Amino acid sequence: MNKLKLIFTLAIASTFALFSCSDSDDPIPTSNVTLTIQLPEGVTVSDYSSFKADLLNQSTQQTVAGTISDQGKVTATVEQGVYDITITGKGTKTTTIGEGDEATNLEQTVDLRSFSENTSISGDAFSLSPSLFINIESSGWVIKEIYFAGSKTPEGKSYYKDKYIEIYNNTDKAMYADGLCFTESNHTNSSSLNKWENILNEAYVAGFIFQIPGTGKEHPVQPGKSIVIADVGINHKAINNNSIDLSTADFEWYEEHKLDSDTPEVPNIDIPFKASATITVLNIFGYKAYTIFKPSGTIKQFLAANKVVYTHPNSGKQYTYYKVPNNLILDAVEIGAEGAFNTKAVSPQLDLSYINVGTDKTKKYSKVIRRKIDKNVNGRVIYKDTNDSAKDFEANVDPKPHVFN
Amino acid sequence: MRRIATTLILIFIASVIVSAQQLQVSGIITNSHNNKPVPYATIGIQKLNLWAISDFRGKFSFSKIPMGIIEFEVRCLGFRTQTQKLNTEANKFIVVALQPENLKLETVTVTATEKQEKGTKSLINQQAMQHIQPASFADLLQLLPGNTSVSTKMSQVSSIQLRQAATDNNTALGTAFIIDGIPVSNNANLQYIPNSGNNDKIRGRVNVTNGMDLRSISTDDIESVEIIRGVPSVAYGDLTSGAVIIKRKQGISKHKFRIKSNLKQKLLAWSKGFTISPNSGVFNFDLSYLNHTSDPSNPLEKYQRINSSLRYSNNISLFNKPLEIKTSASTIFTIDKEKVDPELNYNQPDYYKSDYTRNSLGGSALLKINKNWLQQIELKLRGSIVNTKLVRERIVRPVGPTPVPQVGVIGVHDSEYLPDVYLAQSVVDGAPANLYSALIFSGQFPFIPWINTFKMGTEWSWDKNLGKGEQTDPSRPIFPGSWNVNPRNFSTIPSIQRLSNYFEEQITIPIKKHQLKLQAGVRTITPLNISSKYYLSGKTFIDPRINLTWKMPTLTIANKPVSVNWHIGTGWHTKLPVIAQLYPNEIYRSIIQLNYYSQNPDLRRLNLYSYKKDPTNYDLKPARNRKFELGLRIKYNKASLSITAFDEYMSSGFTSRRTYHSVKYTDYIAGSVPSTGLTAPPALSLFDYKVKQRLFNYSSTANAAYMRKQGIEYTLKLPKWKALHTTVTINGAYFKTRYDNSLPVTYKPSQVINNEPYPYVGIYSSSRSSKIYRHFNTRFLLETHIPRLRMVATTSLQSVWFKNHNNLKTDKFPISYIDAAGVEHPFTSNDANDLLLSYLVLKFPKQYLEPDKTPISMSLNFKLTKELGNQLSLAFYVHNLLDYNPSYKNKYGGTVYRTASPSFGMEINIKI
Repeated sequence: MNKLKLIFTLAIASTFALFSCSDSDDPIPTSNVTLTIQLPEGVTVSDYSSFKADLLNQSTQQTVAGTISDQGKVTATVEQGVYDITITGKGTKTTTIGEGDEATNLEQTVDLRSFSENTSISGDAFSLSPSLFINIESSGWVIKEIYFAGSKTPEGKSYYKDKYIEIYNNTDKAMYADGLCFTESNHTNSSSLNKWENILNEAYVAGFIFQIPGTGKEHPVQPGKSIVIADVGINHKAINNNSIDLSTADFEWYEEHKLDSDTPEVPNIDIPFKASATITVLNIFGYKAYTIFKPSGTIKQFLAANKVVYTHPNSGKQYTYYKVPNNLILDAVEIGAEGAFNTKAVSPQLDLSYINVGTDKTKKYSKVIRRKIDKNVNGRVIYKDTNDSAKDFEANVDPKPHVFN
Repeated sequence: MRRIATTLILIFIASVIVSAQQLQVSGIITNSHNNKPVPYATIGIQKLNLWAISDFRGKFSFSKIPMGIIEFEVRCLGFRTQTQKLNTEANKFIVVALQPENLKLETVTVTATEKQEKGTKSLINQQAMQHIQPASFADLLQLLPGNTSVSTKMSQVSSIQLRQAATDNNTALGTAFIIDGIPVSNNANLQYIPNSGNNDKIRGRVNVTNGMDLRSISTDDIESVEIIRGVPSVAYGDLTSGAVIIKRKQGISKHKFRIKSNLKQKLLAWSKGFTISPNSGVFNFDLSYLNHTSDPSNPLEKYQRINSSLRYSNNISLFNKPLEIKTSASTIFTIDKEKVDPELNYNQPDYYKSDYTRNSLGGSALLKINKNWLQQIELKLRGSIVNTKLVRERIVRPVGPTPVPQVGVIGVHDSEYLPDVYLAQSVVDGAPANLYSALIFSGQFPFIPWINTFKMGTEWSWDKNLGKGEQTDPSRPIFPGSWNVNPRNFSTIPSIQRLSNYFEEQITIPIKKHQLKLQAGVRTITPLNISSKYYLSGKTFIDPRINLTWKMPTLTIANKPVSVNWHIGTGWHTKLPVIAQLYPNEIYRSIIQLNYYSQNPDLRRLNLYSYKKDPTNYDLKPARNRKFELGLRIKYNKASLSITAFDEYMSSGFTSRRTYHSVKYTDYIAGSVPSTGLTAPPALSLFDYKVKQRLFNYSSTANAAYMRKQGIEYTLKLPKWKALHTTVTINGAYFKTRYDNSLPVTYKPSQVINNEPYPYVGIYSSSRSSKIYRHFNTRFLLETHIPRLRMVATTSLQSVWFKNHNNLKTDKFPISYIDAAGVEHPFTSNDANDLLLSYLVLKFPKQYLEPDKTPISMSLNFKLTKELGNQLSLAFYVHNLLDYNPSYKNKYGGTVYRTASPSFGMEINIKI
């Protein structure tokens, strides 16, 4: 036994010795890196001076800055190894709203970004064509919490008309919530195939679109305040002690359906689109992404311009959905369950990751995912918004609608 | 005219001459083992359609037998069925020595025997049943060509499927089960809970329009089974797809006990055939008990069955003519239940239970007149009553505030919201009763110069449900949201009655050395007791059917005989709709007009608009199936090959079809009346409102199911390989089945756009569910029989070479569409560009038309039966001993993994 141990130790030691030898003796060869920037569709860049390219060596943690040419070519000479390559810059995005004579072109300056993780650079010359995507800055509106799993009654039965979402004004200015839309993704991220994958970097496809009514100046939200959109705006605790009080909800989604009820004290949200006429419940397992956006024109114009059709291969039926261009999205959060998460429902430029709520259903009942607090400025809470929900959110915490601490 | 008269006279004279040549033949049946006489054996002369039963001294006799070679077929419980020829020119007496059925015999039959004559069929005898070790009739179907051995899931209704590559209800509904000559009816079954949800425990347990539930048929009292897939005789009716002829045990036997056990099933059976005194007639008694647990680790889901019957048969004489009487009293009792473990359900009830008891009493009397024109008269009578009760009970906690309608109220009215928790119960009390009577005459036409027999019968059947129906409180539904609950008393539904007449002639025509056997007949079926509002009222449907077999002369090739038979059969088959299809329940529908669920419970108000619709389809016609089949059978030495090609066409199968109608109602906007200041629910007049018009639908039964079954069945039997004591049989089938709709279909996209549900319904000329299924399989069966060891083993390699199905291309555009006001508009090419109407345009991507293919699947099964002395026999099986089920990519690119797990079981049979 002792003999065996000895041989083993020797073997390990000699391996280390071999590695350290090669480290110290030979200088690491270098590589001439050329990166050709690929711009997203509809985006033009007239001046690359705003661009920055950083190559982070993973073993040494040293960053080498690339040189950017006028044509958007990045060159650098780096030691061969594994790198994370980040490119940032500003571009001009042109969006067409409406069709034919009514068409208007909108131009906006957008932040562009690309991130090529774990890129192995080897050989004398190395080239890569990283695709840039539009990087959304925090808009001001953020999704603060989502109560998606519903609850269980004391008898262990499902209760799920108590679901809600809370949207927060993360700025220091009052904003109007009129026209703000809340959506759930059509794609279920536990599925291995996203039928909308080919457009994922430009748009996100909604399973429903709920819109806050109003002419534009009807629903002001003060800095540090929120609006709660509930399924049914009542005190659910009166029915199910494991639930919550949603009688102070700002809006509710009422559907003309024999399983729904309409609370007159809470105004109804509009339903511009719902992929199915069945009753809407947020995905109980948390296999969906949620976004908020504001259409640039009226919702009718928006729908007319953003129709996408999916043909069911088995029935030949065409299902109409509506896409939301990524640049309109104000905030997105993808919920997922480890082990069940397969394909992203929103582009990584909107949410780099997903908030893992786990696969244990019991842990999700009566719980929410909630955005973490970044800082507190003069008593006003600012929530963390880095478009990376794994870092920005906490999973399975107690609901606190309209409470900010 | 005179010529006709002369011909008739000549025929009459000829017939007198022919009849003058007829003889009296008698014989005795003995047991080859001990030379003792065998009583109660059935002796038949097939081509003359004559039958006799041996008396207590083993004796029998026939009169009016023509000169020539006559083939006797002798069957008796416990003995091997034997055929023996007698040349009546030389002999008038025959001795048939029967061999007791055991594995010591040189030849045993442990699989189905295929026959083409008089319609392609599979015959299954007792030895085969003992070898298969069935728990219910469903297990016997694995012997049919094209069927594969599957472990029967007894927690769900099991329906028969014949000659098809997919499953459907019409085949099951259109297959008649005839037990001891009398059809069993399931025409009055109404056991289901409407709107019970797709995933509820009741799913898979409803057997209203799909014929017999095979689980309830025990095999322990069965002597032999004939499964006719071809064109059945016109003696069998009210069917479209096939007939299953079950003969129960009749005759003297020892006490037989059967004990079967496997992981899921335990079965005990006891049967006995006895006489009290030599002339008393024979009594047959049997009792069996089955307990099936779907999952051995879950005792809460069970299927239990008790079958019992007492049968009596005797030969007596009436007016000096022999009279054979048979009577039987049977009981079947089954319990099907599933329960949620109360410990996992906070001690609250949540279960499904269905009790079913069927008692029947029946009999037949056959009087032998023995005259040329009229040889025998048979009278059959049977009555049966089922008492069945389905109970679904559960604690309901609605998922949130939920409205509930008031059933039975029409017009504008208020209703309430469901309580937070309640106990919901639905009891469906059904009592389908059936009466059946038939009178059959048979004889021969002496003026026909060839051997012929005819059969003429009249049948009357009556079905009525005497049950109390569904008993439930519609305001406390089992599933919140099931709003069409409308309890009715089943006994108020009229009975359905059928009157049938048939005539059939069988002729054997020798043409030189060829022989033609013709079976041709016509059957009529007339629905009685039906209101003149129905299309069916006063109508008679006619089924002509014909089977022709051409036996070619035996040739000799290399000193071995070769015989070739051709078979052709064609005919029409009619199944009348059953009670559930003719008399659907009225539909009550309620639309919410005001849904004022205030935070203050005292102010809540739910206002509905309710109306009633009758989903009865008065134009309902019977389902009619046209069959055609062509068969070839070649026997060379001891090898035989039979091939049957068939084509069945039905365009009037029953299916459920949606009908849309427009409804106008007032939608009161709850938010327009603030709750502040109110002390009572607000008046409707206070609200802002919109008048809305929307399309709603209900389903009704229509003759819209199109079904086309085509295929080839084949069986190749090789002679016994003596050194290995093994016979190889290769059988299987290629099936191609097409399902379609024969009436226009509708499609309503389910979406909400701008706060409104999608408004239109598209009407399409042909079905989008049009599909063709294909299936090709082969079973290699090695039957090893060693008489010295009294052992028989079968090894079967079951291979499904492929299975696939594909959609058929249909029209892209609807013919027309219905708007929210219920007005139908033609669909124009401009409509395809409309934002909303474009939803109705279909598109057929490449994948849509591509077949969905399942590749090869193979499994190896093994069965063994061994006798230990004359008293004991053991049987054992392993299914999926080995299997080959490679994973494959489906047409959508997904990988499909298949698994098959081995299962095994055994049984003991004791004869004392």
